[in-house]
Amino acid sequence: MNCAGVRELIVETLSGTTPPDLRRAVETHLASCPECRAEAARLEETTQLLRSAPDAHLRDEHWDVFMAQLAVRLEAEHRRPWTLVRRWFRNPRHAWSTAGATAALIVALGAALLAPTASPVESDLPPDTAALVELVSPQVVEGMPAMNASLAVWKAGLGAGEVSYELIGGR
Amino acid sequence: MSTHAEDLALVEAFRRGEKSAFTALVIKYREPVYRIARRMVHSHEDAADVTQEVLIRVHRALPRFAGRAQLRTWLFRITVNLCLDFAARRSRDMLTGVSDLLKEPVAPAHEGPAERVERRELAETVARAIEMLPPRQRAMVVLRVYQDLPYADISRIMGCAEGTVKATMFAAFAKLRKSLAPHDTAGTRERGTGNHG
Repeated sequence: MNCAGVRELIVETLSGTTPPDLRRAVETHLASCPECRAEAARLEETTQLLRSAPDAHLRDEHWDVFMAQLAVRLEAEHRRPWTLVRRWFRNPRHAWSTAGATAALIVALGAALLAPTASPVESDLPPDTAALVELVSPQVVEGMPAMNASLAVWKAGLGAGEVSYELIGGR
Repeated sequence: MSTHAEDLALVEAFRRGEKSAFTALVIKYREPVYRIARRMVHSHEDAADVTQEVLIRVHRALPRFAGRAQLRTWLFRITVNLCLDFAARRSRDMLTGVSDLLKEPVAPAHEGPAERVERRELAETVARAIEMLPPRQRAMVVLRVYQDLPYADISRIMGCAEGTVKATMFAAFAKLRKSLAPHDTAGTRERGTGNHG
């Protein structure tokens, strides 16, 4: 083991718990290498200083406040909508109903998207009648009060179906 | 029962809906999480906030915890990541937090005034030296020196190779040695003697 490799291991052995075989290997090298021994002594000083700085401790009353605050936050977590949804999906009892509802939703959406679009203009008039509506203006109605009587002649001329004059707006 | 097995049993109980299992995990890990955070963010309030956030995230993610890693390693990873995010956001304020260490209720009841001064000086010196390290080096030093984690665990927590941990720790200790050189243990003893005399 060379000195460069040992110096990384010195830090490892001094800074915390180390496997015994690694510690033995380092000790063996240090026994025969004064430079690494001096380096190890300096690093040990550093480690002792780091360890001698006290760790932060909290008194019990601090932890009481901490736990109370945590409980409030956890309660808020439980009420979050996404938490409820996630909990629902995680429950195995809901697996089949969730799968069924999802399938039904997909079918319904598919049917809505693929269905033929309805006629944009809804009308109670028979199919051939729409064009006649434009022809029966108020002036025509005023000028032709006896339209029903002459409708048969007109239909014969234009080839329209059986449509009453009232139905297309006349009187 | 080993710690790992004990943790897995608590996780299983939590999954079954036992709220007390999570409380037991909180009581077991709140202190080490707080201590790591305290060394990383250097303000009691920020460390307490980070600790709460860690535990909230653990609560959210625990149902998905696979148990392949140790719970402690997983929990410390969340802690370190949150602390690194926190440090990045507060990088401009980092140097203001050192003196806050002194306001904490850390003094033993039997401590005299001289010891208290010495302890505060030492705490400030060490905190400042650790604070000067880059965030990832700081995290590794805290996990190793104050949590006594093996390099293998640190590599899992930090998401890097074990060799990287070795090299980073070596670099970190070189910097710490330089920062702490005027305050070596002999010097500290002399200052302590001077204060008494």
